[in-house]
Amino acid sequence: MKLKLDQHSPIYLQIIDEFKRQIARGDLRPGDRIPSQRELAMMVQVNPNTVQRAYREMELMGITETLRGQGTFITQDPERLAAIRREMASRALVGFVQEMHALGYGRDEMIEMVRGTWDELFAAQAAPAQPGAPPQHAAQSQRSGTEGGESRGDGRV
Amino acid sequence: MWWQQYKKEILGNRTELLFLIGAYLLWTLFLLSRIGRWDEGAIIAAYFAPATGIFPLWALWTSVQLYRQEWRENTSYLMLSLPVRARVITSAKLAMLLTGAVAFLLLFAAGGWLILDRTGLLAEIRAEVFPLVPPEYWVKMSLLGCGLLLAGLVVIALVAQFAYVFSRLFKRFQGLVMVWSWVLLFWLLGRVGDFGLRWLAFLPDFHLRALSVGNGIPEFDMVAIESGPFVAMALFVVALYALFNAVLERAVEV
Amino acid sequence: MATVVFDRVTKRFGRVRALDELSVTIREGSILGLLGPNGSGKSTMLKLIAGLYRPDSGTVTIDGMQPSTKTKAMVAYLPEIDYLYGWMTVRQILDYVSAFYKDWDAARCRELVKFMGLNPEATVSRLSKGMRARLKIVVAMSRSAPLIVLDEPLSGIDPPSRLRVLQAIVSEFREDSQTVIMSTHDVADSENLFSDVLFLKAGKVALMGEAERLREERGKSIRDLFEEVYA
Repeated sequence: MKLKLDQHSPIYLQIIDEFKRQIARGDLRPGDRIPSQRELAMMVQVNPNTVQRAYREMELMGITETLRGQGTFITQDPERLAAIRREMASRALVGFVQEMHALGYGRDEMIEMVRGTWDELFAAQAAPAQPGAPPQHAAQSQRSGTEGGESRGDGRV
Repeated sequence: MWWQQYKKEILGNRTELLFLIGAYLLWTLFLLSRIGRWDEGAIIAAYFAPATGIFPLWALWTSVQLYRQEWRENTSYLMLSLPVRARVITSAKLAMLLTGAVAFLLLFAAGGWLILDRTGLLAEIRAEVFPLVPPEYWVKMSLLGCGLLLAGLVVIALVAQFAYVFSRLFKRFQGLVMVWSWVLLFWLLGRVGDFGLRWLAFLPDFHLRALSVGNGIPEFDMVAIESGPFVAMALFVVALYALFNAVLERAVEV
Repeated sequence: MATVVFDRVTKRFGRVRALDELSVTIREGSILGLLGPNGSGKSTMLKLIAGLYRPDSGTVTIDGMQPSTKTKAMVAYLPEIDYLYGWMTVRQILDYVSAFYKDWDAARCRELVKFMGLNPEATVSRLSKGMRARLKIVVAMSRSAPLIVLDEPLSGIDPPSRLRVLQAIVSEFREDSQTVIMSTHDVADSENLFSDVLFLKAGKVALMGEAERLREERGKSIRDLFEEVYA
């Protein structure tokens, strides 16, 4: 697990965000075991108490479950996972829309540009090879390319 | 714990010890090779005379060095952060010094024996003196001499070490403080001896059999020696040692 | 675990006040980052805790006791300078030091030596600066000491050694039984490690608080705060 901490906001919040992001992206799947608190603390050289706090909060939020003697696991609750994904998506959207708005683009213009960019990035390369492929799959193969091609994501994420 | 400290002192000073022993052995061998070419008296003098100067100088230098080195190489940080009473450290350092001194004395005696033997002087002594004087008297006197020598060594070492550590309490003029406290302590030691002679006269005297040989006839006289000065000086040394430990444990800084 | 209290502590060197009526309480179980530029009094504070300096006025206490042989048994102190006998080998150093501490953990020490990539037969004076820094960390962290005092453990060493040192601190720290005080003049590498930070300025407290709370309240990294305090 890699963590890029920017240190301008509390570290424990950034740790939680990183887990949410990885869950939303499918890098972490439901039921996956996550590093122990000490392992994570050592990996990213963060105070064990900070990691402990992040893990406690995640447990409270229902993101993770700790099984005594076995470790900490990503929840299997589909509603909870969907909510995390929605949250991350809406956060990205808000950031995007605000930024575009600040650059002076209107609503329809923005939508049009999103369509264009999408086709440029994903549809163009996926379409000739697999004309019938659903867009979601195309997006996923793109992702695999950047992350070592490990097969993952069964649509639940 | 004490053994580790003692081992550290011995190993830490092994280079100097080995150098000194090596130099001494070479000197002995050199003198042995001169037998027959040089005058016997000169060889014996050349063997015994330097030791009387080198030995106390070595003791003095090493006793200060045992502490100075710690500060100079910043190992005082380790020495002073160890969770032990100061006496563990001070006694291990004194023990190292005594170990060196005993090793040196033994070597010196062995070498002396060899030199006396090869120059033929030993045979003369054997023939002339041994029949007159019982051997246990020789043994006793040698042991007494060695004991006094080592006791004197401890006193010199302690005074020098105290003076050094005491001087570290000052931020300036450390060299001056060291030399002056040294002079002062030896002067005090003398005064304490005088004091003992006057005020501890009620203590029983030491009795020593002294040998004198007149016209080839040995004669033993009982000599009484006042014990007061020795007792007073011993007490003074014990007090100095306690003060030394207190300074090292509570006052001195890295 | 140990609580360290400085009560109006002043320490002078000639005319300079290295610490000036300093009053601070360091809470148990924290990893305190002692921050400040050179000469702000960090080292002096740590030496007072280790019992290597005595205050000119005021008192330093560790669990209510003034520094003594007894508190020295509780403190694992790592000075900034090289304080280990240069003529010894790594193994000799560890044998020597371990003899003095009841809380020495031989198994942990072996693991740390391996983790740090130290050769037990190497002579200390021949080690590189980074390796000497690693050895010092092994000596300090092989003990289950209630109070660990690290003076600039990262200063002037190569990046791989820094990483190893930081990882060793995190992996060996026991938050339920240990307090760590670590000084540094370079915050960037180590700020995530600290639960609390104390900014010293000319022997006085410039700012002290929980690291996460400071980030939350000020929206700034400790590093930025550092630059703000010493600007």
